[in-house]
Amino acid sequence: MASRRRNIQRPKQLFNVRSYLLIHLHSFFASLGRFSKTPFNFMMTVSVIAITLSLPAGLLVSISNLTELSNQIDFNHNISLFLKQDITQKQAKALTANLAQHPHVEQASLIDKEAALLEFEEYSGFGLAIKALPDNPLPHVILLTPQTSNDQTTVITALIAELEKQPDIQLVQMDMDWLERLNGLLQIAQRAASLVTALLGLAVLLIISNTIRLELQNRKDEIDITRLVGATPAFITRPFLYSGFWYGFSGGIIACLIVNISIALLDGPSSSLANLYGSSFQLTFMSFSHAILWVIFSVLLGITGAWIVVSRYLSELES
Amino acid sequence: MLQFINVSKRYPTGAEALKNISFELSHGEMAFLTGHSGAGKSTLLKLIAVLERSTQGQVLLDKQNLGRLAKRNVPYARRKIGMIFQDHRLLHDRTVFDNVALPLIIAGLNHHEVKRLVRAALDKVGLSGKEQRYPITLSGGEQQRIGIARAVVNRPPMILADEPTGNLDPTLSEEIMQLFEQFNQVGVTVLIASHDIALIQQMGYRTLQLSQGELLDNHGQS
Repeated sequence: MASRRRNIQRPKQLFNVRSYLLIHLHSFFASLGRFSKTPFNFMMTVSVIAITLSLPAGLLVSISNLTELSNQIDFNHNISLFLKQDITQKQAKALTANLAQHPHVEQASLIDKEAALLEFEEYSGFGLAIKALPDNPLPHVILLTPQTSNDQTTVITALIAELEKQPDIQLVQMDMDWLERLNGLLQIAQRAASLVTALLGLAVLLIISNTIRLELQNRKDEIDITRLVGATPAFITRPFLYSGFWYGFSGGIIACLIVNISIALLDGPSSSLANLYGSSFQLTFMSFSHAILWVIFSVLLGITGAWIVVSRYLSELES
Repeated sequence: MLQFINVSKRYPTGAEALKNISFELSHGEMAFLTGHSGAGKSTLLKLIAVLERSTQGQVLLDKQNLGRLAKRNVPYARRKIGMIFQDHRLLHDRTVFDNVALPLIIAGLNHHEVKRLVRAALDKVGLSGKEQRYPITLSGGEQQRIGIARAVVNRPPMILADEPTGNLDPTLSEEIMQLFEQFNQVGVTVLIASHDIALIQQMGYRTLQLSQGELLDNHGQS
């Protein structure tokens, strides 16, 4: 046993860190060099990876944009009270003042129907159509901000029930409702995005594995020869890991570019839509840190895909 | 240096490639391995290079049992052997220099040392000045010399050659054989598989003759 160990020639004295790093550097650029010989094939694979990865990335960015939009909306539990059509401005003002005194109401403000119409005319683009109307179709609206306390829900529910009994009020609308629905939808979307990310990530892993498998077959002779002259599996695997790295790296970067270009294209129409709602909302681009995370994710997929294929191939080869 | 003790190799298909082979090659010895195709020559060489493992018996290289070598140590065992093939097994997309340097790069030698050893090996086989050529631009005999330079560049204690003169004319074959003799003279153990009986007899070294997996003849000293 002892003699067996002594006989194993591990080139300890010959080994040094500098030449090890040089080998790495060499395979790093050698893999790039190989791609430069077949740039079309490389770009095809990278494009497939980039497009595949841009879908979940785009989805995640859209969700973060929507989340931001919902955050911009005042989280106070505002209640809109639509008054009946025949209520005059005077009555409305009185009601507003009355409601402002209510113990559970913090603030009440009136949106005068004339003012609302003017605003609507100005921003909606339906100005002419509205002018053609004989009467103002809009009702007076009172915006209520309830007193916030620990026991919000019950207080607010009680308040709404009370308001609904008022004869002057046509409709009580809780602004919170749709916001909660939006948040619910966003949560579903987020879950869906994670699922899509996982699935498409797996797809990228398979694309890269398959590409590396083809490269492996093309370089079978080279692998056999290097094995014969004493290459370790690590030495043989290294260039393929770098290939996987380059696929993942290039694919990830291009995916981020695709997402940001798409956002730039959508930004114009979306901000004019936001303007329509009186909001200065603007789409946010994929942030730098997110982009870096995304590229790292892509690189990890590339390296993992390559490693799985090559180590399987080599373990089948060596008896 | 090399010892076969009752070695048998049976493939999973049931074919028995080697039957109960025993022989020994001492340090610095040169020997030929002959036999018809299918006699088991290649299998025997593959056992030494740990490309295959014996099903019975022991193959000892430098007192190390190759049959029991852990997978992770196989590459290091192969570095002790310089292998030469009939079809050269060169990398055609790399220069002569890069081909010969391969074992040194794998061993992790520094650039300076690699340059020095590759030059020396190419000089030895008579190919100096052709470092930057591609193998395909050289003749068959020259390509075989590249293969030999690659096999000896890291100064292994043993050289294995599988039909090294198979595709060469008699004059070139003789030159290649002389090259092996030169390596042998500086202490390298050499084992050459060949069916060029005339050339082998002319050279007068020990001959191991295989027939249908059995060792028939073991001429010369043991």
